[in-house]
Amino acid sequence: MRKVEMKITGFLKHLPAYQVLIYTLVVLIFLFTIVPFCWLIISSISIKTELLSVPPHWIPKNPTLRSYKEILFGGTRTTRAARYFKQAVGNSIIVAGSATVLCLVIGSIASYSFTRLRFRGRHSLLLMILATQMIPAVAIIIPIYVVMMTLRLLDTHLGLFITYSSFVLPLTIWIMMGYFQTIPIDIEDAARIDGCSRLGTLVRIVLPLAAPGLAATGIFAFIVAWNEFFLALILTQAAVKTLPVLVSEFSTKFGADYVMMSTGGVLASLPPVILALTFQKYIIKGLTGGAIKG
Amino acid sequence: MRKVLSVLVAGLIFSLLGCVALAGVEITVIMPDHEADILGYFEQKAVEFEQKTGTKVSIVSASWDRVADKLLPALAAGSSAYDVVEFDNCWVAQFAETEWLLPLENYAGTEYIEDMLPALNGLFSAKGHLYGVTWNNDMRFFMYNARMLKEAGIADPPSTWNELVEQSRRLMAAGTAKYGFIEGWEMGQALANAQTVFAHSFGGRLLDERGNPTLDSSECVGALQFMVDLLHKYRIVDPASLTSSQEVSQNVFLRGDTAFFPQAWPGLYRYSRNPEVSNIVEEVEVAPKPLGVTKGIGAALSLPEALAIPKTSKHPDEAWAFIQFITNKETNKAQSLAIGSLPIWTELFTDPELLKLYPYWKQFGKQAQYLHGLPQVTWYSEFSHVCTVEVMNALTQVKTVEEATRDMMTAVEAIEK
Amino acid sequence: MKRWLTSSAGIGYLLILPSLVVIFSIIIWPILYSVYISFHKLYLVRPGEFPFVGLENYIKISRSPVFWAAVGRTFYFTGVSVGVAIILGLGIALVLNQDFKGRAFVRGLIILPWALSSVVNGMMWKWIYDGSYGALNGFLLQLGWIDSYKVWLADPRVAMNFVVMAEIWKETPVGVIFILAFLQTIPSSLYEAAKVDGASPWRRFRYITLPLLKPIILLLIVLKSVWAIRDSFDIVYMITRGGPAESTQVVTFYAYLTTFKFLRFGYGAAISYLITLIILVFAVVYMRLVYTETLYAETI
Repeated sequence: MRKVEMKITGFLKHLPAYQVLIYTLVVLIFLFTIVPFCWLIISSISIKTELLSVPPHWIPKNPTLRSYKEILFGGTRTTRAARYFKQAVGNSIIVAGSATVLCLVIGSIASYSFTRLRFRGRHSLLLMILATQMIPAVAIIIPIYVVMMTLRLLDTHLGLFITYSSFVLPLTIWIMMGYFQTIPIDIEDAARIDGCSRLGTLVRIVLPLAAPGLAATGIFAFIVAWNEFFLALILTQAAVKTLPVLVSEFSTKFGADYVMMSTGGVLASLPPVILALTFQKYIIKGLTGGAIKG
Repeated sequence: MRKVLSVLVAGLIFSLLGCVALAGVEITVIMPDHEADILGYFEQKAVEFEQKTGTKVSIVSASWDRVADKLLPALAAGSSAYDVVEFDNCWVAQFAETEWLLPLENYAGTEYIEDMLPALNGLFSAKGHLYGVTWNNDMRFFMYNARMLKEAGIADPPSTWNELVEQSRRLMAAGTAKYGFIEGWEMGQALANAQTVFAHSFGGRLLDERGNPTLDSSECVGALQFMVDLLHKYRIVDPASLTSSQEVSQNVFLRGDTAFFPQAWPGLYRYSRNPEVSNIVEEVEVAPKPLGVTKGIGAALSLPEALAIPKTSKHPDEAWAFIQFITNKETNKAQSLAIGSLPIWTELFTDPELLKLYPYWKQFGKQAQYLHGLPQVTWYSEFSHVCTVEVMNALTQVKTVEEATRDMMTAVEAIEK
Repeated sequence: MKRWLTSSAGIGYLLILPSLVVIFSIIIWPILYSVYISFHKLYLVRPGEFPFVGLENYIKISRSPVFWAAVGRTFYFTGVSVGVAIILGLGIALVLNQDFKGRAFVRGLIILPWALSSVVNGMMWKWIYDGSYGALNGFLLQLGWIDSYKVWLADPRVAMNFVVMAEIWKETPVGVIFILAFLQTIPSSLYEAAKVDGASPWRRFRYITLPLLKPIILLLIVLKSVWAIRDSFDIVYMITRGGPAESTQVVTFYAYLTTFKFLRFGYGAAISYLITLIILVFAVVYMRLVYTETLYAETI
């Protein structure tokens, strides 16, 4: 063991070699991260015969955006794919968007309360809320289904919106707590000495200061809601089908047409991928939430 | 950061406005999109219907299995989401018991029904009511690639399983075909169909008249053993069958990789002659008799699918208008012309224009004696699932055929009827 | 009353009330209701009947080999995917914590797999694994590692591992991000001191980094296990639908089949409740970690 250690140490002492090692690893990590998704993109711009050659053409000779045109604007074989796609995009925006807004509003004040105010049962309530986030949807889908059925909320925006909110809310509370921590308590105290009430301080002083946190939490919540599949699969039937559900149908609808399938996949991933890559710093803060201060 | 927020809010408002813009009567149709229609025929017809009537049609379509998973709970829950629904032949017993559907005879009138194939009306009727009108008259034929056989010097297509094995080996040895044939044996209803038809082709059946399992009969065991042998002993079935759907198997055949298609849907004959989707134009023929264990036995599936209206539909009149639009004699003929499906109107089987395109329809009367449907029990979805699990265990050699059969019997007997 | 409402405690309750209502109405209440359903027979083919059957559903489940096999598969799926994703995540985080050109870019990019929905992820990998035209086959063939295309997902002995691989790819970034964020909180003076003492990089990792990372790794194990159980449904639904045979049928998928394919809601509710109990065990462990480890204590 000792010998191996010395060997490694000796090896690392030659700095150039160490650099080579690091860069090799970085390249491997880079490939690991993007190659599968790149293959999906390449599949979506290939023509069928090239894609079905053995072994496949890694770089398409005749790249084409035809399948994108067909899904976005309609084509011969898929007269209505365009319509359904737009409808699903609309549904996803409505449901994920409204759930995000509601969670930001009621989640941020709750998380402020948990961070700054002292009251009995605070710890147990918080842990209970966080624990609900762990329950898999399949464990409670039957009662939810029965309730939605009774309330005639199956396949409605409202039904999906309520359900999503309850699943995303614990997450937003948890992430926002990390941000409220970073706001110095002195500012609040000063405002209160100036005669602001608790709620006044919250609305006028704390929330504006927490705006970047709110935005980050919002983006994070939006991506999570946008990508949700199981609840949407069960609770929607036709009218409010979200994008992931539509894409899951694509994968069999075009059963043998891998070009169309890949195109659907790429298009559905664009919003979360673009949001995530653009705001990755905030997302990372969101993911690590209150667990790590930094 | 403020920019981000405003973009999010703007997006939200925009999409809400877009939603309000939807108005007018819209009916929702749920039907599987599968091997029978790879050209988007029904989508085009829906557009025509919209233009003609002003009623909007929203079609929910996915593979058969996924449609089943979505539709059955929705019907059971009394949901009014769907106005026209897929009504599969294997659900007749279940739907007759649950009375989820609207009787159609009041809408259709006797003269409308009279001229349709009586067998189809009979199948989708229960307790004196008609519950569905067929949209996909799916009867299977044994099709083969005549050019390949000719190249290999084979005069007649096989009529027994042994002949099929022998001919496939010759074609594969000569390099004419990659495999004898490919099946859609992924986990799903298509595999359950295959199990049923193989059993019949060995002279067996899965359930007796009273619904008791006869899966351990020598015929059923022999059929399952033969399915396993096709993959592992004779190796004439493409191993990719185990992860393929029927669409994929159709694709492989149309690419010219395989020579035979034992349970081919009528549309395949049509598609094979369409150069846009086929490399084997004018090469496919229909064998006089479906395959069986002897020259006297043969089996082909009969899997018609109908359209029906749930009792909970809010627009039954528009729904019926759609069904009638899709199934009337004129559209039905257009459907046959476009995607090669069998008509539901007796008269169309003698239509000269159609017969010229599909000369094999002349055998239709002879084919009838070989036809078999799926078992009719209220617990069919559970039955077909536990069966496919054990069939798959045998096909992948995780269990021997005997073990799989024994476990299948236990599982089926454990189903609470 | 007014006084109480303006007191710290009063406002405290008031502010969390809306959240509690939303969460509890959709999660806590259904959990209790699913217990109620699970003591009944609810078979939607006979929708009118709803007889009380006591523990019958639970007794049947406890005797069902299909259920226990599915539980076993769930643990395998969870254990392997979480274990590998964390080890891989640790390795990647250590590399990305070094100095190199383009570090910010690669660090940002690493989030990509996480941003894909599980549906797209499942579809993408199913296509990569495809037995007739898949990229994996093409790649291995060109490398000369296989001599003909293999139908990877048709073999019940390995199909689960392919599903797990797809899950690992998507879940690795979470580990990387957590560990990377934590690595940055370790003061560099600790390493400087160790360097002065002549400690090798390995020793510095073994005796400084790893002990400091222990709490975050523990937390990751618990959290990710819960998420893996929760998310196993999506990926299985997309790639194999539980097949071939039952070789990838995890317990969440089994609950789905019983409920929405066989329409046995009572029995399905009982299975779901058992899943909830398993998760609760994890939740308790999680809470203990959160309480005992200092890393979270400050925020409460």
